[in-house]
Amino acid sequence: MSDEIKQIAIYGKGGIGKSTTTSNISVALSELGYKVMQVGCDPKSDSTNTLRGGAFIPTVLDTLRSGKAIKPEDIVHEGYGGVLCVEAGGPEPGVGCAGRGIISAVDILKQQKIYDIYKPDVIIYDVLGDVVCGGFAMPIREQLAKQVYTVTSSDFMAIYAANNLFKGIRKYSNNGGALLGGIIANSVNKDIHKNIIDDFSKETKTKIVEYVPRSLTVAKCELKGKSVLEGAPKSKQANIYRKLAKNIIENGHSHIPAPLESGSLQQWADKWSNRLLKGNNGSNGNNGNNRNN
Amino acid sequence: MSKTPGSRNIHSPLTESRVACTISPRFTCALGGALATVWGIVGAIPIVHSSAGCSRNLYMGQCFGSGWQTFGHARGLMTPSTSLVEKHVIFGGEGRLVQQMKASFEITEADLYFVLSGCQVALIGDDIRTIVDQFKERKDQTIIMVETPGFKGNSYAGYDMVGRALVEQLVEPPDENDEQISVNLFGIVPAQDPFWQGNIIEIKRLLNRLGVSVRWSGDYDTIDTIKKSSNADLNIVLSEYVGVSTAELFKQKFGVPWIKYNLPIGSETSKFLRIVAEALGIDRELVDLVIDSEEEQFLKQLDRLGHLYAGFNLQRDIGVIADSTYSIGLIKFLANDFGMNPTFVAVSDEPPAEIHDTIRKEILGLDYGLKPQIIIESDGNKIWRALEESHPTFLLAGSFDKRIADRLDIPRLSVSYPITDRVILSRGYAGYRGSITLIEDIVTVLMKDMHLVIDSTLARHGYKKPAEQFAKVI
Repeated sequence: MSDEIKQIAIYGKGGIGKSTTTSNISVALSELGYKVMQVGCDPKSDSTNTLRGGAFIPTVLDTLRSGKAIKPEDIVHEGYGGVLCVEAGGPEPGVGCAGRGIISAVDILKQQKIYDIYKPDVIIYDVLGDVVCGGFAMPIREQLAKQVYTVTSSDFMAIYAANNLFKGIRKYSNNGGALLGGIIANSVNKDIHKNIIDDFSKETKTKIVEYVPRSLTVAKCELKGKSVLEGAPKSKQANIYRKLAKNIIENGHSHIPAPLESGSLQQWADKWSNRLLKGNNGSNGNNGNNRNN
Repeated sequence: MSKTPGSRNIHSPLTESRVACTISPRFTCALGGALATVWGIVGAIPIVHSSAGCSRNLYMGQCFGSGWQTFGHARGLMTPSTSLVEKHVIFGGEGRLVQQMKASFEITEADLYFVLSGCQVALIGDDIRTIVDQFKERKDQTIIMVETPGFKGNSYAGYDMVGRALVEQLVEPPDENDEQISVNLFGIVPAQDPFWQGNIIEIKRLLNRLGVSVRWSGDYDTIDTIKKSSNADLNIVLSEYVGVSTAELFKQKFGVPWIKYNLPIGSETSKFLRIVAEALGIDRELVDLVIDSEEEQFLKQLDRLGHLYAGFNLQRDIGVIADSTYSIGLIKFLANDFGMNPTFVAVSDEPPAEIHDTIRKEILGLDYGLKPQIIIESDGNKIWRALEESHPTFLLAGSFDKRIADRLDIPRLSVSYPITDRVILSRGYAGYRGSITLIEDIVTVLMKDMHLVIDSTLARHGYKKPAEQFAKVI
């Protein structure tokens, strides 16, 4: 489609819907005619499951562990809509170093010239949770991704993770690291959710690329091992993902976010919890940290 | 000689502002010190759980730098190691450790296996203790483990890590029937102190003369000696801080009191012996008798240097670069006994901040009101710059300091780690005998340039080509 590969990374707190969002973006982009490669950077290695009928694929690090010679076809697997699926893989929970795993997996992808062989138009890195260590900053730091998106709900911990990601981006921004494309606001069903995320976005001088509501359709499709675009292509939710994907592919603007320092973040959170406790802002009186269905 | 501006070319082109690390540190890491300490125990074999290269390089760095000392059988270059590579860092190295332990038990014989771990496994959090505990349950081997990631400290820290692990995991409760007066010695780090064995032997010899037997000393102790070390009446720490945490744990666990007395050289030894004797309640007459006879011998030997010392004026402004233990010991001896003028001391072992004042006080408490300049600094560049300013006329330091000594055109004797221009096996500088050895070594270096002194003396007497004339004479 274009000469330059569009490389983006999607970060966010664990369980917030990164892989769901990423897989749906990948399929939506493939519908638009792009050749998409989705790279799961999470030792759970389940980023691409809904593109492969719920099945796990052999990971890049499995090849390192086995000690056998690596062949591209061992690590790149075609999924729904022709999306090329790659999983970095990693150690069992509580063992070894997952961060180093991400670094090594990306090194292997480069050494094997995977991007040259498959020539994708878009590469999407779906990266585990928080930027807790250097390994998870790899896609930002090494200019693998040009643009970073964060998936967050109005949940305070998710916003905390997003804020940490902004710190990571700011840190590497002077050295040619990836910049922020924007926030993907997830699980936004009520005004209060939207207001909280909007306010966080305003405070951090970032923008929101799309509001994605929480929907049962997503859960139903995932249970069948499918993305929403595959399992319920005509649903309202599928169209939201299509719109999100279009926004992302057309978004040429990246910027350095202005993360809140820990004191200010706490003050910001206190402001919202006080407001919620008073029942203002169309809230049903619940604490903002609750995730509403 | 005129001073040469700057010291950029001495060792490294890096200037201070660009250097974020220590240049030419005079120690290795915690794992290095731990390894050397284990190598110094009879029948103990270390199993190193760390990256490929750690134990080999630490062996060469720690031991070759200590006057080319080597250790054999399943030690040194043959030390069992898990030699971890990238996949172990990512997926964990626990399986590799199990494999290495089994293999080591199969092909080596040891009274004690000491599992030591390096930086990488500490970062990734391998559960070494559980693995070692599982092997321990089989009771086939005596196994001790201690986590010694290099980043936890330097060689001196590694020594205490091993010491505490031995106290915690090997030393047995005291035997109530034991009536022998005995002590343990702590604070001398094998292969970090190049003269470790010679020093310990001299201290042991003197304590034996007082009727005190030495148990766990650091000089090729057997496992059995260490196990029974809790029968000691006193633990003696021969450093301002190295060995203190081991002695303190020992006290908490077995109630053995400890005293601290920095490595005595020369007449300091008499004070040391009196303090130890007092702590142990040894008869004062015996102590006087021993000290008198030792001092007599010491003075007889020192006396034989008199003509040379006075006749050729061997007094020098002395610079010392050494760890805190040696800095204190050497400076006191040089100033108080040997009549030298210490002008510069660089204490290079990164002692804990809380004992900096103690170190300064010890060094500045010299006889004759001598007040050498003291810096507590491990960075070679900074040490050399200060040394250049001070410009002593003789240097007691390590092999790293050859270039600066050459540049300053002053003679130098290697007395502190790293030493690669001497082979050191039995030599020691501690005690009475050690101090005479030290004098012999210093004066031997000074005598190398003695032909220049002779030349100038002869020139004063009208010889036109003094060196040639002198050659004819002899």
